[in-house]
Amino acid sequence: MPSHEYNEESIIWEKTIILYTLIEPDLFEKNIGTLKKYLHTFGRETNQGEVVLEYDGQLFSIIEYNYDDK
Amino acid sequence: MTKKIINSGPAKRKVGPNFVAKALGAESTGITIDVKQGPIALLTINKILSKELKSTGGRPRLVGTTNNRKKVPFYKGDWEKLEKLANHIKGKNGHSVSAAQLASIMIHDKLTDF
Repeated sequence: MPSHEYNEESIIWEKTIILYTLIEPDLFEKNIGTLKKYLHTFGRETNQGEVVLEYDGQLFSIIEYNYDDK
Repeated sequence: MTKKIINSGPAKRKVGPNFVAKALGAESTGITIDVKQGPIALLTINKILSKELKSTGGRPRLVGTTNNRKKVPFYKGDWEKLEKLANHIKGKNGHSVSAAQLASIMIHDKLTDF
């Protein structure tokens, strides 16, 4: 998603990488904090205005990057 | 003739989207879809249509395309998928896009990879 510096008229073309994987439910729940850390760090360090993810046919948005290692 | 393998084992439980959203600090956008098409891909197509599908009084045209039509053979079922997708987009966002125009967008997008 484009940074908040771009206005709604801009189309930003980016190359993306899609990874597909199977998940084991118990392990996924136990380690979901690792995924949160990745998404929030990605959003913050690459200055993304918003990080979106698709899960189970729904689109979710992360706007506040508040993951804290401490 | 290939045999179909059927997995008759117990299904794994699903991890609910609300749990995932809360755990990741994410909020629902309210966007769901009926067809098996990624919302992100649809968002991209909708953004392109908002910008490039223009009408000068008649049928909307994609800005930058020519009137020079080419014959393109399709794999079985693909044209029907395009028509279904065009109807979905028209219903959800109001963009009056044809199956052929969607094909044009997708081909143009993929060609930029080369």
